[in-house]
Amino acid sequence: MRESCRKPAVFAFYDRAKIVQTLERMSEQGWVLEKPGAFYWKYRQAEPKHRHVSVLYVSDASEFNPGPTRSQELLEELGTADGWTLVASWGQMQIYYSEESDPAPMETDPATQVEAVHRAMAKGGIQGAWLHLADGVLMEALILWQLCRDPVMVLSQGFMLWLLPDGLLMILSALIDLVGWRLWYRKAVAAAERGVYLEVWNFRAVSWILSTASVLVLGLTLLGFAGRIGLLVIALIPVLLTHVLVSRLMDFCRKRGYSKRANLAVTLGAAVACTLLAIGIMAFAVIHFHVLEASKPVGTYQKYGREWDVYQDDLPLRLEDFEVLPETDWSLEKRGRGTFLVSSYDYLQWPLSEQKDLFELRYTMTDVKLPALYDLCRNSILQSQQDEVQHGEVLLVNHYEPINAADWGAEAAWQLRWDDSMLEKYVLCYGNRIVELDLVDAPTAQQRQLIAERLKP
Amino acid sequence: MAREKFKTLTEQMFYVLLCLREERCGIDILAWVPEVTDQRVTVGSGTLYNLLEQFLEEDMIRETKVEGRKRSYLITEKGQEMLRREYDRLHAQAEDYRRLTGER
Repeated sequence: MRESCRKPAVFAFYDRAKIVQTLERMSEQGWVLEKPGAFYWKYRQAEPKHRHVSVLYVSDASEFNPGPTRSQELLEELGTADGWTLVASWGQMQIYYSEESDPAPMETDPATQVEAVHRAMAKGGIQGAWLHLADGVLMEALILWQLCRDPVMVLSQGFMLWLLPDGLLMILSALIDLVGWRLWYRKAVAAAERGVYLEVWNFRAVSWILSTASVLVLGLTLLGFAGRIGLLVIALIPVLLTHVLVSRLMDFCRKRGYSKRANLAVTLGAAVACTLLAIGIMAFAVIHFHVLEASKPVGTYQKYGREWDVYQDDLPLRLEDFEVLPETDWSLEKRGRGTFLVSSYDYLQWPLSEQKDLFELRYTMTDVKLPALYDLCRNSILQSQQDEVQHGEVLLVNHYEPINAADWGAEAAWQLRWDDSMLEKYVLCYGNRIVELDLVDAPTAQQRQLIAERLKP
Repeated sequence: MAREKFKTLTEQMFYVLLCLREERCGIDILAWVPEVTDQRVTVGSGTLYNLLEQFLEEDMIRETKVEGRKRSYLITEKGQEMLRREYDRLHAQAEDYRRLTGER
Protein backbone atom coordinates (compact mmCIF):
# COMPACT_ATOMS: atom_id res chain seq x y z
CA MET A 1 0.00 0.00 0.00
CA ARG A 2 1.41 3.39 -0.94
CA GLU A 3 2.20 5.82 1.87
CA SER A 4 2.19 8.89 -0.35
CA CYS A 5 1.21 9.98 -3.83
CA ARG A 6 1.84 12.90 -6.14
CA LYS A 7 -0.72 14.63 -8.32
CA PRO A 8 -0.06 17.32 -10.94
CA ALA A 9 -0.87 20.87 -9.84
CA VAL A 10 -3.60 21.73 -12.32
CA PHE A 11 -4.96 24.85 -10.62
CA ALA A 12 -3.89 28.48 -10.66
CA PHE A 13 -2.23 29.85 -7.50
CA TYR A 14 -5.20 32.02 -6.52
CA ASP A 15 -7.88 29.50 -7.61
CA ARG A 16 -9.07 29.03 -4.00
CA ALA A 17 -12.36 27.30 -4.88
CA LYS A 18 -10.75 24.66 -7.11
CA ILE A 19 -8.00 23.98 -4.56
CA VAL A 20 -10.54 23.53 -1.75
CA GLN A 21 -12.67 21.26 -3.93
CA THR A 22 -9.67 19.11 -4.94
CA LEU A 23 -8.27 18.78 -1.41
CA GLU A 24 -11.66 17.87 0.07
CA ARG A 25 -12.16 15.22 -2.61
CA MET A 26 -8.66 13.81 -2.02
CA SER A 27 -9.36 13.69 1.74
CA GLU A 28 -12.51 11.64 1.15
CA GLN A 29 -10.32 9.24 -0.87
CA GLY A 30 -7.85 8.95 2.02
CA TRP A 31 -5.18 11.44 1.01
CA VAL A 32 -4.27 14.61 2.90
CA LEU A 33 -1.94 17.26 1.59
CA GLU A 34 1.69 17.05 2.65
CA LYS A 35 3.50 19.45 0.35
CA PRO A 36 2.22 21.76 -2.43
CA GLY A 37 4.48 22.72 -5.32
CA ALA A 38 4.63 24.31 -8.74
CA PHE A 39 4.48 21.07 -10.73
CA TYR A 40 2.89 18.50 -8.41
CA TRP A 41 1.30 18.31 -4.96
CA LYS A 42 2.36 15.54 -2.59
CA TYR A 43 -0.24 13.78 -0.43
CA ARG A 44 0.13 11.30 2.44
CA GLN A 45 -2.23 8.51 3.28
CA ALA A 46 -4.82 9.12 6.03
CA GLU A 47 -8.20 7.84 7.13
CA PRO A 48 -10.66 8.48 4.30
CA LYS A 49 -13.20 11.00 5.56
CA HIS A 50 -14.55 14.45 4.83
CA ARG A 51 -12.28 17.19 6.11
CA HIS A 52 -13.08 20.85 5.65
CA VAL A 53 -10.39 22.81 3.82
CA SER A 54 -9.73 26.53 3.92
CA VAL A 55 -7.23 28.36 1.72
CA LEU A 56 -6.01 31.83 2.68
CA TYR A 57 -3.31 34.13 1.35
CA VAL A 58 -0.85 36.04 3.54
CA SER A 59 0.68 38.92 1.61
CA ASP A 60 4.09 39.00 3.34
CA ALA A 61 4.61 35.22 3.39
CA SER A 62 7.28 33.99 0.99
CA GLU A 63 9.29 30.92 0.10
CA PHE A 64 12.38 33.04 0.81
CA ASN A 65 11.47 33.72 4.45
CA PRO A 66 13.53 31.85 7.07
CA GLY A 67 10.34 30.97 8.96
CA PRO A 68 6.71 31.99 9.36
CA THR A 69 6.14 35.75 9.50
CA ARG A 70 4.33 37.52 12.33
CA SER A 71 1.18 37.53 10.15
CA GLN A 72 1.40 33.79 9.50
CA GLU A 73 1.81 33.15 13.25
CA LEU A 74 -1.19 35.35 14.05
CA LEU A 75 -3.35 33.56 11.47
CA GLU A 76 -2.26 30.15 12.75
CA GLU A 77 -3.01 31.15 16.35
CA LEU A 78 -6.51 32.36 15.46
CA GLY A 79 -7.16 29.38 13.17
CA THR A 80 -6.12 26.91 15.89
CA ALA A 81 -8.47 28.62 18.36
CA ASP A 82 -11.32 28.00 15.88
CA GLY A 83 -10.39 24.33 15.34
CA TRP A 84 -8.38 24.73 12.13
CA THR A 85 -4.94 23.11 11.63
CA LEU A 86 -2.33 24.50 9.30
CA VAL A 87 -1.23 21.56 7.10
CA ALA A 88 0.88 23.31 4.49
CA SER A 89 2.06 26.69 3.39
CA TRP A 90 3.47 27.51 -0.03
CA GLY A 91 4.62 31.08 -0.48
CA GLN A 92 1.60 33.25 0.30
CA MET A 93 -0.82 30.31 0.25
CA GLN A 94 -1.83 28.91 3.66
CA ILE A 95 -3.85 25.68 3.71
CA TYR A 96 -5.90 24.70 6.75
CA TYR A 97 -7.85 21.51 7.50
CA SER A 98 -10.58 21.02 10.06
CA GLU A 99 -11.77 17.57 11.13
CA GLU A 100 -14.83 18.98 12.91
CA SER A 101 -18.18 18.19 11.28
CA ASP A 102 -19.34 21.81 11.17
CA PRO A 103 -16.43 24.12 11.89
CA ALA A 104 -16.74 27.90 12.12
CA PRO A 105 -15.71 29.18 8.68
CA MET A 106 -12.37 30.99 8.56
CA GLU A 107 -13.71 33.65 6.18
CA THR A 108 -16.94 35.38 7.19
CA ASP A 109 -16.69 38.80 5.54
CA PRO A 110 -16.48 38.96 1.70
CA ALA A 111 -15.31 42.61 1.78
CA THR A 112 -12.33 41.74 4.01
CA GLN A 113 -11.58 38.62 1.99
CA VAL A 114 -11.51 40.57 -1.30
CA GLU A 115 -9.09 43.13 0.20
CA ALA A 116 -6.86 40.35 1.57
CA VAL A 117 -6.66 38.45 -1.75
CA HIS A 118 -6.17 41.69 -3.68
CA ARG A 119 -3.31 42.71 -1.38
CA ALA A 120 -1.68 39.28 -1.61
CA MET A 121 -1.94 39.30 -5.42
CA ALA A 122 -0.49 42.82 -5.63
CA LYS A 123 2.57 41.67 -3.68
CA GLY A 124 2.76 38.26 -5.34
CA GLY A 125 1.36 37.04 -8.64
CA ILE A 126 0.81 40.48 -10.13
CA GLN A 127 4.46 41.46 -9.66
CA GLY A 128 5.27 38.29 -11.59
CA ALA A 129 2.84 39.35 -14.34
CA TRP A 130 4.55 42.78 -14.62
CA LEU A 131 7.95 41.06 -14.92
CA HIS A 132 6.48 38.69 -17.50
CA LEU A 133 5.14 41.67 -19.47
CA ALA A 134 8.47 43.53 -19.30
CA ASP A 135 10.29 40.37 -20.39
CA GLY A 136 7.93 39.85 -23.34
CA VAL A 137 8.09 43.49 -24.47
CA LEU A 138 11.91 43.53 -24.25
CA MET A 139 12.19 40.27 -26.18
CA GLU A 140 9.75 41.47 -28.84
CA ALA A 141 11.50 44.84 -29.18
CA LEU A 142 14.91 43.18 -29.61
CA ILE A 143 13.64 40.75 -32.24
CA LEU A 144 11.76 43.48 -34.16
CA TRP A 145 14.83 45.72 -34.06
CA GLN A 146 16.91 42.82 -35.39
CA LEU A 147 14.21 42.08 -37.99
CA CYS A 148 14.46 45.67 -39.29
CA ARG A 149 18.27 45.51 -39.38
CA ASP A 150 18.67 42.06 -40.91
CA PRO A 151 15.40 40.37 -41.95
CA VAL A 152 17.15 37.52 -43.76
CA MET A 153 19.04 36.54 -40.60
CA VAL A 154 15.91 36.61 -38.40
CA LEU A 155 13.56 34.94 -40.89
CA SER A 156 16.01 32.17 -41.76
CA GLN A 157 16.77 31.16 -38.17
CA GLY A 158 14.11 29.00 -36.59
CA PHE A 159 15.11 29.99 -33.09
CA MET A 160 14.97 33.74 -33.80
CA LEU A 161 11.79 33.47 -35.85
CA TRP A 162 9.80 31.64 -33.17
CA LEU A 163 10.84 34.07 -30.48
CA LEU A 164 8.41 36.51 -32.13
CA PRO A 165 5.16 34.59 -31.39
CA ASP A 166 6.72 33.40 -28.14
CA GLY A 167 7.16 37.02 -27.00
CA LEU A 168 3.62 37.88 -28.13
CA LEU A 169 2.22 34.99 -26.10
CA MET A 170 4.15 36.21 -23.06
CA ILE A 171 2.75 39.73 -23.48
CA LEU A 172 -0.78 38.45 -24.04
CA SER A 173 -0.65 36.14 -21.04
CA ALA A 174 0.69 38.92 -18.77
CA LEU A 175 -1.92 41.41 -20.04
CA ILE A 176 -4.73 38.93 -19.40
CA ASP A 177 -3.45 38.48 -15.84
CA LEU A 178 -3.13 42.23 -15.23
CA VAL A 179 -6.40 43.32 -16.84
CA GLY A 180 -8.22 40.32 -15.35
CA TRP A 181 -6.90 41.22 -11.90
CA ARG A 182 -8.15 44.82 -12.16
CA LEU A 183 -11.56 43.77 -13.51
CA TRP A 184 -11.94 41.03 -10.90
CA TYR A 185 -11.13 43.48 -8.10
CA ARG A 186 -13.77 45.98 -9.28
CA LYS A 187 -16.45 43.33 -9.64
CA ALA A 188 -15.43 41.57 -6.41
CA VAL A 189 -15.68 44.79 -4.37
CA ALA A 190 -19.16 45.41 -5.80
CA ALA A 191 -20.19 41.79 -5.11
CA ALA A 192 -18.85 42.03 -1.55
CA GLU A 193 -21.22 45.00 -1.03
CA ARG A 194 -24.01 42.49 -1.60
CA GLY A 195 -22.36 40.03 0.78
CA VAL A 196 -21.00 37.73 -1.93
CA TYR A 197 -17.38 36.71 -2.40
CA LEU A 198 -16.45 36.59 -6.07
CA GLU A 199 -13.70 34.04 -6.75
CA VAL A 200 -10.57 35.27 -8.53
CA TRP A 201 -10.98 35.00 -12.29
CA ASN A 202 -8.74 32.40 -13.78
CA PHE A 203 -9.58 32.52 -17.50
CA ARG A 204 -9.22 28.75 -17.73
CA ALA A 205 -10.18 28.56 -21.43
CA VAL A 206 -7.82 31.40 -22.37
CA SER A 207 -5.03 29.90 -20.26
CA TRP A 208 -5.58 26.56 -21.99
CA ILE A 209 -5.42 28.18 -25.44
CA LEU A 210 -2.28 30.13 -24.50
CA SER A 211 -0.61 27.03 -23.03
CA THR A 212 -1.42 25.03 -26.17
CA ALA A 213 -0.09 27.84 -28.35
CA SER A 214 3.08 28.00 -26.23
CA VAL A 215 3.64 24.25 -26.63
CA LEU A 216 3.05 24.61 -30.37
CA VAL A 217 5.52 27.49 -30.60
CA LEU A 218 8.04 25.56 -28.51
CA GLY A 219 7.64 22.60 -30.87
CA LEU A 220 8.19 24.83 -33.90
CA THR A 221 11.17 26.44 -32.16
CA LEU A 222 12.64 22.99 -31.63
CA LEU A 223 12.08 22.27 -35.32
CA GLY A 224 14.32 25.28 -35.92
CA PHE A 225 16.96 23.22 -34.17
CA ALA A 226 16.32 20.24 -36.43
CA GLY A 227 19.62 18.50 -37.00
CA ARG A 228 21.10 20.33 -34.03
CA ILE A 229 19.91 18.08 -31.24
CA GLY A 230 23.34 18.47 -29.66
CA LEU A 231 22.74 22.19 -29.16
CA LEU A 232 19.29 21.51 -27.76
CA VAL A 233 20.71 19.09 -25.19
CA ILE A 234 23.53 21.51 -24.39
CA ALA A 235 20.92 24.28 -23.91
CA LEU A 236 18.47 22.22 -21.85
CA ILE A 237 20.96 20.67 -19.41
CA PRO A 238 22.16 24.01 -17.93
CA VAL A 239 18.54 25.26 -17.76
CA LEU A 240 17.45 22.20 -15.76
CA LEU A 241 20.59 22.26 -13.61
CA THR A 242 20.05 25.97 -12.90
CA HIS A 243 16.44 25.31 -11.86
CA VAL A 244 17.44 22.49 -9.47
CA LEU A 245 20.44 24.36 -8.08
CA VAL A 246 18.51 27.58 -7.46
CA SER A 247 15.60 25.85 -5.67
CA ARG A 248 18.05 23.83 -3.52
CA LEU A 249 20.00 26.98 -2.70
CA MET A 250 16.80 28.79 -1.68
CA ASP A 251 15.91 25.88 0.66
CA PHE A 252 19.45 25.84 2.06
CA CYS A 253 19.41 29.60 2.81
CA ARG A 254 15.98 29.34 4.42
CA LYS A 255 17.09 26.45 6.65
CA ARG A 256 20.21 28.36 7.64
CA GLY A 257 18.01 31.25 8.79
CA TYR A 258 19.01 33.80 6.12
CA SER A 259 16.71 36.84 5.97
CA LYS A 260 14.32 37.12 3.03
CA ARG A 261 16.49 39.83 1.47
CA ALA A 262 19.73 37.83 1.90
CA ASN A 263 18.09 34.68 0.54
CA LEU A 264 16.75 36.59 -2.48
CA ALA A 265 20.16 38.17 -3.13
CA VAL A 266 22.03 34.83 -2.89
CA THR A 267 19.47 32.91 -4.95
CA LEU A 268 19.12 35.58 -7.65
CA GLY A 269 22.91 36.00 -7.76
CA ALA A 270 23.31 32.25 -8.23
CA ALA A 271 20.60 32.22 -10.91
CA VAL A 272 22.36 35.02 -12.85
CA ALA A 273 25.78 33.33 -12.44
CA CYS A 274 24.36 29.97 -13.60
CA THR A 275 22.67 31.62 -16.60
CA LEU A 276 25.92 33.35 -17.62
CA LEU A 277 27.80 30.07 -17.17
CA ALA A 278 25.20 28.27 -19.26
CA ILE A 279 25.52 30.90 -22.02
CA GLY A 280 29.33 30.53 -21.84
CA ILE A 281 29.09 26.73 -22.13
CA MET A 282 26.71 27.08 -25.08
CA ALA A 283 28.95 29.61 -26.82
CA PHE A 284 31.97 27.33 -26.29
CA ALA A 285 30.04 24.35 -27.64
CA VAL A 286 28.80 26.35 -30.65
CA ILE A 287 32.33 27.48 -31.54
CA HIS A 288 34.27 24.37 -30.59
CA PHE A 289 31.91 21.64 -31.77
CA HIS A 290 30.44 23.55 -34.78
CA VAL A 291 26.94 22.72 -33.55
CA LEU A 292 25.28 25.61 -35.39
CA GLU A 293 26.97 25.00 -38.70
CA ALA A 294 25.26 23.22 -41.57
CA SER A 295 28.37 21.14 -42.26
CA LYS A 296 31.08 19.57 -40.20
CA PRO A 297 34.83 19.89 -40.95
CA VAL A 298 36.57 16.78 -42.28
CA GLY A 299 40.03 17.83 -41.13
CA THR A 300 42.37 20.75 -40.49
CA TYR A 301 45.31 22.43 -42.23
CA GLN A 302 47.96 25.04 -41.40
CA LYS A 303 47.96 28.44 -43.10
CA TYR A 304 49.50 31.76 -42.05
CA GLY A 305 50.70 30.06 -38.86
CA ARG A 306 47.17 29.07 -37.78
CA GLU A 307 45.10 25.94 -37.90
CA TRP A 308 42.02 26.07 -40.14
CA ASP A 309 39.16 23.64 -40.75
CA VAL A 310 38.74 21.85 -44.05
CA TYR A 311 35.28 21.12 -45.47
CA GLN A 312 34.19 18.89 -48.31
CA ASP A 313 30.57 19.93 -48.87
CA ASP A 314 28.58 19.70 -52.06
CA LEU A 315 28.66 23.10 -53.86
CA PRO A 316 26.33 23.79 -56.85
CA LEU A 317 28.97 26.02 -58.48
CA ARG A 318 32.72 25.49 -58.17
CA LEU A 319 35.79 27.30 -59.47
CA GLU A 320 36.74 24.38 -61.72
CA ASP A 321 33.43 24.92 -63.57
CA PHE A 322 34.95 28.21 -64.86
CA GLU A 323 38.55 27.40 -65.64
CA VAL A 324 41.44 24.94 -65.37
CA LEU A 325 42.79 25.25 -61.85
CA PRO A 326 46.30 24.61 -60.56
CA GLU A 327 46.94 21.35 -58.75
CA THR A 328 46.05 21.98 -55.13
CA ASP A 329 43.64 20.84 -52.40
CA TRP A 330 40.44 22.84 -51.78
CA SER A 331 38.08 23.41 -48.95
CA LEU A 332 34.40 23.44 -49.96
CA GLU A 333 32.07 24.76 -47.32
CA LYS A 334 28.32 25.30 -47.15
CA ARG A 335 27.00 27.12 -44.11
CA GLY A 336 23.68 28.71 -43.24
CA ARG A 337 20.21 27.92 -42.07
CA GLY A 338 16.58 27.93 -43.17
CA THR A 339 12.99 28.06 -42.05
CA PHE A 340 9.67 27.63 -43.82
CA LEU A 341 9.87 31.37 -44.70
CA VAL A 342 13.46 31.98 -45.78
CA SER A 343 16.62 29.94 -46.18
CA SER A 344 20.04 31.46 -46.60
CA TYR A 345 23.22 29.48 -47.29
CA ASP A 346 26.78 30.70 -47.87
CA TYR A 347 29.03 28.70 -50.22
CA LEU A 348 32.80 29.08 -50.02
CA GLN A 349 35.62 27.52 -51.98
CA TRP A 350 39.22 28.33 -51.16
CA PRO A 351 42.64 26.73 -51.67
CA LEU A 352 44.51 25.14 -48.78
CA SER A 353 47.92 26.38 -49.96
CA GLU A 354 49.11 29.93 -49.25
CA GLN A 355 50.15 30.75 -52.84
CA LYS A 356 46.80 30.18 -54.47
CA ASP A 357 44.77 32.85 -52.69
CA LEU A 358 43.80 34.57 -55.89
CA PHE A 359 41.48 31.70 -56.67
CA GLU A 360 38.52 31.94 -54.35
CA LEU A 361 34.78 31.74 -54.78
CA ARG A 362 32.06 32.99 -52.42
CA TYR A 363 28.36 33.21 -52.96
CA THR A 364 25.16 33.27 -50.89
CA MET A 365 21.82 31.92 -52.00
CA THR A 366 18.74 33.24 -50.21
CA ASP A 367 15.46 31.53 -51.04
CA VAL A 368 12.35 33.51 -50.07
CA LYS A 369 9.50 31.03 -49.75
CA LEU A 370 6.80 33.59 -48.93
CA PRO A 371 6.43 36.06 -51.84
CA ALA A 372 5.28 38.86 -49.50
CA LEU A 373 8.73 38.83 -47.88
CA TYR A 374 10.69 38.97 -51.13
CA ASP A 375 11.06 42.77 -51.43
CA LEU A 376 11.96 43.07 -47.75
CA CYS A 377 14.77 40.52 -48.09
CA ARG A 378 16.07 41.85 -51.44
CA ASN A 379 16.12 45.46 -50.23
CA SER A 380 17.88 44.45 -47.04
CA ILE A 381 20.59 42.68 -49.07
CA LEU A 382 20.99 45.66 -51.44
CA GLN A 383 21.10 48.10 -48.53
CA SER A 384 23.78 46.09 -46.75
CA GLN A 385 26.22 48.27 -48.76
CA GLN A 386 25.69 51.99 -48.27
CA ASP A 387 27.51 55.19 -49.26
CA GLU A 388 29.31 56.97 -46.46
CA VAL A 389 27.58 60.34 -46.21
CA GLN A 390 28.35 63.26 -43.92
CA HIS A 391 26.35 66.51 -43.91
CA GLY A 392 24.77 65.55 -47.21
CA GLU A 393 28.16 65.03 -48.88
CA VAL A 394 29.15 61.57 -50.12
CA LEU A 395 32.56 60.71 -48.62
CA LEU A 396 32.76 57.19 -49.99
CA VAL A 397 30.72 55.61 -52.75
CA ASN A 398 29.74 52.07 -51.78
CA HIS A 399 26.45 50.81 -53.19
CA TYR A 400 24.87 48.36 -55.59
CA GLU A 401 23.97 49.72 -59.05
CA PRO A 402 21.51 48.05 -61.44
CA ILE A 403 23.14 46.30 -64.41
CA ASN A 404 21.75 44.46 -67.40
CA ALA A 405 19.96 41.44 -65.94
CA ALA A 406 19.65 39.71 -69.32
CA ASP A 407 23.46 39.28 -69.40
CA TRP A 408 23.07 37.07 -66.30
CA GLY A 409 19.88 35.32 -67.38
CA ALA A 410 18.29 36.92 -64.31
CA GLU A 411 15.13 38.96 -63.66
CA ALA A 412 17.17 41.72 -61.99
CA ALA A 413 20.87 42.28 -61.31
CA TRP A 414 23.08 44.75 -59.44
CA GLN A 415 26.84 45.25 -59.20
CA LEU A 416 28.73 46.87 -56.35
CA ARG A 417 30.27 50.25 -57.01
CA TRP A 418 33.09 51.11 -54.64
CA ASP A 419 34.66 54.54 -55.06
CA ASP A 420 35.42 54.91 -58.81
CA SER A 421 35.40 51.26 -59.69
CA MET A 422 32.90 48.46 -60.11
CA LEU A 423 33.80 45.44 -57.97
CA GLU A 424 33.10 41.86 -58.99
CA LYS A 425 30.32 41.60 -56.40
CA TYR A 426 26.82 41.02 -57.69
CA VAL A 427 23.26 40.59 -56.49
CA LEU A 428 21.24 38.46 -58.92
CA CYS A 429 17.53 37.63 -58.77
CA TYR A 430 16.41 34.26 -60.12
CA GLY A 431 12.73 33.64 -59.31
CA ASN A 432 12.36 33.50 -55.53
CA ARG A 433 16.15 33.16 -55.14
CA ILE A 434 18.51 36.08 -54.45
CA VAL A 435 22.17 35.30 -55.14
CA GLU A 436 25.05 37.38 -53.76
CA LEU A 437 28.11 36.53 -55.82
CA ASP A 438 31.69 37.47 -55.01
CA LEU A 439 34.16 36.78 -57.83
CA VAL A 440 37.86 37.54 -58.27
CA ASP A 441 37.71 38.38 -62.01
CA ALA A 442 34.98 39.73 -64.26
CA PRO A 443 33.10 36.72 -65.70
CA THR A 444 32.83 36.09 -69.43
CA ALA A 445 29.44 35.76 -71.13
CA GLN A 446 29.90 32.00 -71.13
CA GLN A 447 30.69 32.00 -67.41
CA ARG A 448 27.66 34.20 -66.66
CA GLN A 449 25.48 31.70 -68.50
CA LEU A 450 27.00 28.84 -66.50
CA ILE A 451 26.38 30.73 -63.23
CA ALA A 452 22.71 31.21 -64.17
CA GLU A 453 22.35 27.51 -65.04
CA ARG A 454 23.91 26.36 -61.78
CA LEU A 455 22.38 28.85 -59.39
CA LYS A 456 18.82 29.17 -60.70
CA PRO A 457 16.27 27.43 -58.46
CA MET B 1 -20.29 51.80 -7.13
CA ALA B 2 -17.51 50.05 -5.23
CA ARG B 3 -16.99 50.71 -1.51
CA GLU B 4 -14.23 53.19 -0.68
CA LYS B 5 -11.92 51.48 1.79
CA PHE B 6 -13.43 51.71 5.32
CA LYS B 7 -15.76 54.57 4.32
CA THR B 8 -18.49 52.33 5.61
CA LEU B 9 -17.82 49.37 7.88
CA THR B 10 -19.18 45.85 7.57
CA GLU B 11 -20.71 44.29 10.68
CA GLN B 12 -17.53 42.37 11.44
CA MET B 13 -15.37 45.49 11.08
CA PHE B 14 -17.74 47.42 13.35
CA TYR B 15 -17.71 44.84 16.14
CA VAL B 16 -13.96 44.23 15.99
CA LEU B 17 -13.33 47.98 16.40
CA LEU B 18 -15.96 48.19 19.11
CA CYS B 19 -14.31 45.29 20.92
CA LEU B 20 -10.92 47.00 20.86
CA ARG B 21 -12.02 49.96 22.96
CA GLU B 22 -10.46 47.74 25.57
CA GLU B 23 -7.11 46.03 25.08
CA ARG B 24 -7.74 42.52 23.78
CA CYS B 25 -5.87 39.76 21.94
CA GLY B 26 -7.15 37.99 18.82
CA ILE B 27 -8.61 35.00 20.63
CA ASP B 28 -10.49 37.33 23.01
CA ILE B 29 -12.05 39.09 20.01
CA LEU B 30 -13.13 35.75 18.44
CA ALA B 31 -15.03 34.97 21.66
CA TRP B 32 -16.30 38.51 22.44
CA VAL B 33 -18.12 39.29 19.18
CA PRO B 34 -20.58 36.34 19.20
CA GLU B 35 -21.03 36.77 22.95
CA VAL B 36 -22.15 40.43 22.81
CA THR B 37 -24.25 39.91 19.68
CA ASP B 38 -25.98 36.85 21.06
CA GLN B 39 -24.36 34.70 18.32
CA ARG B 40 -25.88 36.92 15.62
CA VAL B 41 -22.44 37.95 14.40
CA THR B 42 -19.37 35.72 14.29
CA VAL B 43 -15.95 36.64 12.98
CA GLY B 44 -14.00 33.84 11.27
CA SER B 45 -10.35 33.42 12.25
CA GLY B 46 -9.19 34.24 8.70
CA THR B 47 -11.39 37.32 8.55
CA LEU B 48 -10.19 38.50 11.95
CA TYR B 49 -6.56 38.04 10.94
CA ASN B 50 -7.15 40.07 7.77
CA LEU B 51 -9.05 42.78 9.63
CA LEU B 52 -6.32 43.16 12.25
CA GLU B 53 -3.70 43.41 9.49
CA GLN B 54 -5.73 45.98 7.54
CA PHE B 55 -6.65 48.05 10.62
CA LEU B 56 -2.99 48.11 11.70
CA GLU B 57 -1.95 49.23 8.24
CA GLU B 58 -4.52 52.04 8.32
CA ASP B 59 -3.55 53.05 11.90
CA MET B 60 -7.08 52.32 13.11
CA ILE B 61 -5.71 50.07 15.85
CA ARG B 62 -2.28 49.64 17.46
CA GLU B 63 -0.44 46.72 18.92
CA THR B 64 -0.06 47.12 22.69
CA LYS B 65 1.50 43.92 23.97
CA VAL B 66 3.39 40.91 22.61
CA GLU B 67 3.66 37.81 24.80
CA GLY B 68 5.15 35.01 22.73
CA ARG B 69 2.74 34.56 19.85
CA LYS B 70 -0.05 36.36 21.70
CA ARG B 71 -0.55 39.95 20.61
CA SER B 72 -2.95 42.49 22.06
CA TYR B 73 -4.49 45.49 20.35
CA LEU B 74 -6.28 48.74 21.18
CA ILE B 75 -8.30 51.11 19.02
CA THR B 76 -6.63 54.42 18.01
CA GLU B 77 -8.24 57.87 17.69
CA LYS B 78 -8.59 57.30 13.97
CA GLY B 79 -10.34 53.99 14.63
CA GLN B 80 -12.61 55.65 17.20
CA GLU B 81 -13.52 58.30 14.67
CA MET B 82 -14.43 55.71 12.04
CA LEU B 83 -16.43 53.75 14.55
CA ARG B 84 -18.31 56.92 15.56
CA ARG B 85 -18.94 57.79 11.92
CA GLU B 86 -20.37 54.33 11.27
CA TYR B 87 -22.56 54.65 14.36
CA ASP B 88 -23.85 58.03 13.13
CA ARG B 89 -24.59 56.54 9.74
CA LEU B 90 -26.49 53.62 11.20
CA HIS B 91 -28.25 55.94 13.65
CA ALA B 92 -29.32 58.24 10.80
CA GLN B 93 -30.67 55.22 8.94
CA ALA B 94 -32.65 54.11 11.99
CA GLU B 95 -33.97 57.66 12.50
CA ASP B 96 -35.09 57.83 8.88
CA TYR B 97 -36.87 54.52 9.32
CA ARG B 98 -38.69 55.74 12.42
CA ARG B 99 -39.59 59.08 10.84
CA LEU B 100 -40.91 57.54 7.66
CA THR B 101 -42.75 54.55 9.14
CA GLY B 102 -43.91 56.26 12.33
CA GLU B 103 -42.71 53.27 14.34
CA ARG B 104 -41.10 53.89 17.75
